[in-house]
Amino acid sequence: MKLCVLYSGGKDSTAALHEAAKTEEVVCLLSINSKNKESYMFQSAANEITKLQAQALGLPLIHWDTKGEKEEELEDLKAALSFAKETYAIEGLVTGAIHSAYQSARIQKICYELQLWCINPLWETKDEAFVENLLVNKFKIMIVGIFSYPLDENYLGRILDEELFQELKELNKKYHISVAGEGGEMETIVVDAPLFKKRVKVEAYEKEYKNNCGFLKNIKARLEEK
Amino acid sequence: MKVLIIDMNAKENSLFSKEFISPITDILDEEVCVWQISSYKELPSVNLAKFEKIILSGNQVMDKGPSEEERKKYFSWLLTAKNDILGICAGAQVLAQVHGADLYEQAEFGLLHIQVLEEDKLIKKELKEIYSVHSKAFTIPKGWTCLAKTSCPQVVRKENHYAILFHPEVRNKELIRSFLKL
Repeated sequence: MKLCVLYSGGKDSTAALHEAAKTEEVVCLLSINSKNKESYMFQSAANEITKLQAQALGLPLIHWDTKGEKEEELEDLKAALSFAKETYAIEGLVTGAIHSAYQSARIQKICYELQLWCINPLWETKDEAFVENLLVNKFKIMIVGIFSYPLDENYLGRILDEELFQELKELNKKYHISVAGEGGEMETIVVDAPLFKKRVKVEAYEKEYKNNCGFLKNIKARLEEK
Repeated sequence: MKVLIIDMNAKENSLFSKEFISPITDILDEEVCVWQISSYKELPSVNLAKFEKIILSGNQVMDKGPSEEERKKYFSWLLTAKNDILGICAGAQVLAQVHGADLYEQAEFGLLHIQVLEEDKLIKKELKEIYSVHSKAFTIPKGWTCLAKTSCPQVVRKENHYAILFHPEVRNKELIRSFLKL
């Protein structure tokens, strides 16, 4: 089946892409570029990196802007999916939804209206097992946004490796932080993964941070050989 | 306890079925159950009598589900099954259909308020919010009781057989645990 992956460039959508590519034909990526930093539907941090990631994956990218206003962003998603259906003859959409009923149900409804399959291969996956699996499979994940106490600016730009995973597990015990960021505690980008033909080299960035909320901006990155 | 999960997806054991099966097997693992997954197309070769509990999974909204011919071929045993049976979404539709229910267009997506009409071992008055993803609902089969509803029947039961239209494996996992304790 020809599939499109709803792709933010973060670990969830990248992991979903890898699951889908095992048995189906992924023909394009769709990145919704939300101008609203508080969107419940779409990741907003480091959207500019998705173009490099798509090149690294060797897949065409549909980059679609939305103001990120509550119901309008759903119309924007529907328009983008219609475009993907016309352009790439997609039959279904893959998402990286794990626990968000809000996000998943809205996407399911739009897909049904467009007569597209809506596939959520990570749905209800347990947080620790999910992150462990990513590390085992050599996903290289950078934290680009943090939105919850006690995460602070020192976490911005860090790579999610075994050491950080252990730290997050401790924070989970003390503060109930989801180690996978599924409570909206953090946003990530994947800079390398098994399907990446090249890796994304992040060379510089600036941090914007205040009161346990922050993100990387003006990220300078390029592709390098693996 | 041995539990059989019947994969109701047309493409069994696939990218398409994982989201309907894995949340259930996670619960079964937590409850230390022995479980087996079989596609509905494999049922003629499965010894159903060795399972105390049988769960019929959900499937993709775009999956049309078993045809009338397939229902007769693969599911007529439901009419006389002694096992405890839990049908979820597409599994519930088939369970209800085998007992004479009709399906009708009724799409519901997302978290919905549910009204409990009658309590029992699975359905308690504390049940308030459910996660639903379906395009069709079922009528209440003759002789069955509707225990809970939204704008359509959500839970119908006859003896130890339950047809649940919503997805308890998402936001109401305790309901599956109660089923295991029947």
